[in-house]
Amino acid sequence: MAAKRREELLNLIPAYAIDALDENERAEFEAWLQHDPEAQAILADYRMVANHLVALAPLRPAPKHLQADLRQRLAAGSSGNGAVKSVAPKPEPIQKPSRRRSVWFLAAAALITMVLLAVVLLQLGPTDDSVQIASAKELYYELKRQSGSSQYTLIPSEMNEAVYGNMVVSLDGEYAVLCIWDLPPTAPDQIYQMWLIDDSGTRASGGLFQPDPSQKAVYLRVPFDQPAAAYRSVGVSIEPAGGSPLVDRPTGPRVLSVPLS
Amino acid sequence: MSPNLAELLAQIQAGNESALLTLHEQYANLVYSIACRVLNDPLSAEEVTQDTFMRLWYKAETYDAAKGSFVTWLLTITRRLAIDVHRKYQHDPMQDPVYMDSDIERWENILGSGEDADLKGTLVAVLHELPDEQRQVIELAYFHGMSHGQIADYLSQPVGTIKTRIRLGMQKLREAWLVGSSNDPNQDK
Repeated sequence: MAAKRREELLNLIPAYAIDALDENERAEFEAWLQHDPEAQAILADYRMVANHLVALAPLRPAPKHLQADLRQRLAAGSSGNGAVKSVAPKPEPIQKPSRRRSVWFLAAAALITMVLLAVVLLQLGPTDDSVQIASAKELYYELKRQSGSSQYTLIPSEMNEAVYGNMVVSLDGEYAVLCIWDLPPTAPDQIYQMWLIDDSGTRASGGLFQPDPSQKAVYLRVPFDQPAAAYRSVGVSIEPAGGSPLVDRPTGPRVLSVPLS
Repeated sequence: MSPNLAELLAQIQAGNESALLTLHEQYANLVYSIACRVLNDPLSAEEVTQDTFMRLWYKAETYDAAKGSFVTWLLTITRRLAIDVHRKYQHDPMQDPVYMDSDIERWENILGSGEDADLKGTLVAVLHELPDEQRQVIELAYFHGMSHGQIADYLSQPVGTIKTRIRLGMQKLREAWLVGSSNDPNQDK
């Protein structure tokens, strides 16, 4: 390797130590690093330095309730929902639909969808505090067919990495259904709780639910109070049978989240 | 690794919740501080803090004392989890001011425990003496997971300028580390 190029790569070691290389630089750098012991020794120094960069963060006291929250998370986990570390194949990444469509086409599709939604929603009947499950499946597939609807991929927590699925949101952001695959039942004294997190970080319960063990997937209406664009994410946690004792936050472990950004 | 810490980690691996809560009591403030620095959002920082300790709960066996201190390992987990959240929500780093910690000595005590306390303390002190423009780009990379190119776009500066600032800042820190190492009788190298 030319001395000049080696010098350039040596100069990248500090940035590599703090993960600042761009993708196009990283591949070449790592290939070179494997065969240059001197560079590896220098990198070890920089890694030691990087470990101390945390000192640039101001120290802040953690909220007092965190210890109690963690205790509850652990209690929830020890009641039969310990870590499940099997890995299932994830669905193909879902692309957000292109917005470069005809306005007339979208309008017509939206009108048809609204009529179909009205039919579906009429069938749902009155709502209660629980998340509607039965007819949500129809709505889910209706929304998937809707031109201009958006889909967001579910991210499982470490607690159960086998869970997968997505959420589909109508064009106007009014309707959304969360589809979760391979969600195991909770312990008898527990229940799943959905959470809606808006842009300000405020959490609100989206209802309680328990998946049907005979079904592979569970479909959940997401009860947005505002258009979906006003929300940051949707999450699901495991809570005591009556739901989280706190109205504005989960107390049990998070099972999954669906970022909307 | 102190015998007490080793024992606690062994207990966590055995499923002892009290051991995890003990470490939470000791380190929650540090973990929360790092999460806050990355996210600048107390609620999100709380979640990352708890996720960090849940990861410790499930994966305590992955800590290797031969590769570094426990606190460094724990805070690295925190930082990576927080950067993942940061990327998902695409927070604006400019909302996070580049500022100095007003309590350097406390960080020195936290990171500088053990045989090479003086050396680590020196490094932390030099870190806080870096020129603002060098510290800023290092912070954007380290706390926000931004690459050379992303920082250049973000600050509207040439990539070459960003590379130089990171290199110069990190070189100063490494020099302080090497000088300290050569003066420290406890260091093997």
